[in-house]
Amino acid sequence: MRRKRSGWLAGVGFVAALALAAASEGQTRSGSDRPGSILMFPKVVRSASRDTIVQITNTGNSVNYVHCFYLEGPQSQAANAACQAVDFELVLTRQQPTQWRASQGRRVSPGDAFGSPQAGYDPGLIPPLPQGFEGALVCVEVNSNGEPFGQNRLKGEATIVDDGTGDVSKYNAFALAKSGGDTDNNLNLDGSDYETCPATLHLNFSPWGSLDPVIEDFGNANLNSFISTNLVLLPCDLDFRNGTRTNGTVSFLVRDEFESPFSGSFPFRCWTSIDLGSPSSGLSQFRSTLLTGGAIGTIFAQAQLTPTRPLVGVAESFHTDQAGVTGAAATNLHTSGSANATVRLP
Amino acid sequence: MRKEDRDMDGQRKSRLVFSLGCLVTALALMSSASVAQKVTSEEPAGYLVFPKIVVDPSGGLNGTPRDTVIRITNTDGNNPRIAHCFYVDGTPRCSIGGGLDGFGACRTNEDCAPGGICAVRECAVINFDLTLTPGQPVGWRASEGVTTTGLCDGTAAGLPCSSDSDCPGSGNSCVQLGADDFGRVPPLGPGIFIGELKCVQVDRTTNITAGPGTPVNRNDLIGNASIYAVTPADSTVDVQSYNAIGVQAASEDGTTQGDTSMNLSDSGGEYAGCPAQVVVNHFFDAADLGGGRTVQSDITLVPCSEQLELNTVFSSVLQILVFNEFEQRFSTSTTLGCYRESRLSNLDRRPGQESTSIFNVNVQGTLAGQTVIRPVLSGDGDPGNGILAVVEEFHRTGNQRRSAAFNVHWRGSKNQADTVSY
Repeated sequence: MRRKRSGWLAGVGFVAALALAAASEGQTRSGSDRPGSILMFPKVVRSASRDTIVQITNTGNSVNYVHCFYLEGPQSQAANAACQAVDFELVLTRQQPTQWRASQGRRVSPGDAFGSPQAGYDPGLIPPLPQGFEGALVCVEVNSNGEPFGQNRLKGEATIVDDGTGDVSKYNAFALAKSGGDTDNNLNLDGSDYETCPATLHLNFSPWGSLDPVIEDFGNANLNSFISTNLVLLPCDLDFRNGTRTNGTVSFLVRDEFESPFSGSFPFRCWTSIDLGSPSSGLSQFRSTLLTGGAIGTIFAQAQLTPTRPLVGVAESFHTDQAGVTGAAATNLHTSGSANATVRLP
Repeated sequence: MRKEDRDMDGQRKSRLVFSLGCLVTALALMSSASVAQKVTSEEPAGYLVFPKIVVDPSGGLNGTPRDTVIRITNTDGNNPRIAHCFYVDGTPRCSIGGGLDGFGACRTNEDCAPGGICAVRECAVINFDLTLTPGQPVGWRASEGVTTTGLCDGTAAGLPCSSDSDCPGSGNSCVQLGADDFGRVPPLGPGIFIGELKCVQVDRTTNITAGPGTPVNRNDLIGNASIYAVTPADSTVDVQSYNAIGVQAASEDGTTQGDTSMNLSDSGGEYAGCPAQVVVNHFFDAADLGGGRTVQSDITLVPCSEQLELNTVFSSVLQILVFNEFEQRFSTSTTLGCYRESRLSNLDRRPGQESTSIFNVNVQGTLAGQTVIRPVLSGDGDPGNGILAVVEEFHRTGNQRRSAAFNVHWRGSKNQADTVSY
């Protein structure tokens, strides 16, 4: 009788465990519209006029410790140029949102005035970024000892502001959920430890130099409006322990409204920023026929990007009238498929 | 056979049956997990929702002409795909005369004739079809739709045309799209339009008299919307973009569904279920972000359940929790009919009372907040009460007004299905 009951219990336990595992697998897919355990902000800029406001929120009902890394893009075009990382830690109380300007960071100053930029519980000391910084921000949930501890409660946004023109663009951080596995400093984005990264990226874009139909109609244009797109890519393989670079190649297939396909490839490094179709990019497949060497005769196009190692990215389009007045808009890239990667913490 | 042997044999059989049951159940669970689909703003899907489309060519809403550029792409590079689309008109209109555009569109009661009420009463629907060739990206201005058959070349490359005379500039000609013509899209206007666009991947449109196509089990569509505010008068070029919300079909076997009623549920539905909660990170309205920059946010909410073309308006109650950077919690509630676009501070306060809203920095004292919106389930499953949303931030620096849109976050799964029918 006891054997019979233990068999039942074992069976029920087996099914329950699989059900939990299945439910966990179903709920923890990576993306930019669900909380996760690793946040990747591919584009953080601080220039003379542009700055980035970072927002991170703990969506859970218990305290959340977070270890963050600013990853600065390579300072030169040399193939072996490295990405410098600077880290800091945050402590977010339950449901706490926090924010800071990248140029200012955040001080620990409990006496901030009501409604002032640093009012609220101080999440920790956040270093300011110097002028000229272009790179990424990566944050990982940890426990009070600093060991990776996935709770899948982090979400984030980045707001890129231009203090010269007043312009603004915004995107969501890419979140990778913890799915099980160990708690060592090798974060395996393989579906068993953390969720995987996307294998393919999809970009809806307008080719470099194409006309903007709305500015042509409403604005100051006379066939002189101009659309351009900046694409930023961040590898999912990140080695903060050894500072090892992740290099590779992105193969792309571009299609316009006439269904004409254009293909090619370009290299990516530890952080890559490309003005798609610009003369400096060398990628005429992303350029309008309005410009010399351009390939695309339509305003609407799509690119399918397949990297040799998984990437996440953000696109920012710039829409300019003939007087040079520009409006920018950022979007998260569309994704498909899955690919494994590893984030190594110090 | 002895009784003990028969009992033992029976126990073995029941254990075997139970083990097989466990195995089948486990395999079914693993299988369902491996194909689990979701509501997503970044993966291809079979049902796209653009919660906010704005057309205001005369600038009646805030003085600056506005328009929306819509992009939809077939990510299947090998097969043509068809989408059946609906514009849903959520423009608030005056109950009696007045309004901003000659068609009764309004922002508040003050825009209407004395005694008039400004509200969204019914959400009228216009539908059309898109036929996308393999891998084809298409786009159009919502105010103009697609009423032409080609695209200009030369110095007017890409602008829509039907004949050479439509192309501005000298010497430019009109290149006919031919087999790449994806269909006609009705223009919105000439007045103000605020509403949503929904597109369902369907099987066919060749026999128009047979009615609209039936949804198919595929996930091939992605989309973006860019909302413009442009005027040369004060050198404004303001562009904001967001990704269409994709509701993925549960199966991707390419088969045609049984009818034009789409069941959205994580428990055996034809599409992924709408989430239990919407989570929004935002700045509190009137927050000073430095550099003389102040901010306010608008949220657009649309229901997951809709009877398109029947103009049936379901009403849902939304419970809202707000947290500031001191971990302090506030709550409020509001309602959603067929469409709701609102400044955050007007979710709990009337126009003119924004400074006392729980979404205002003058109340919260910190710049950043987190808002969780949960639809209250009606219990009978009709409607399902699910919601989708997108948020816009409006930044003001001196006289400049610029904006950005972003997709919200989703959390959890409802135990009540939503239904979209047409």
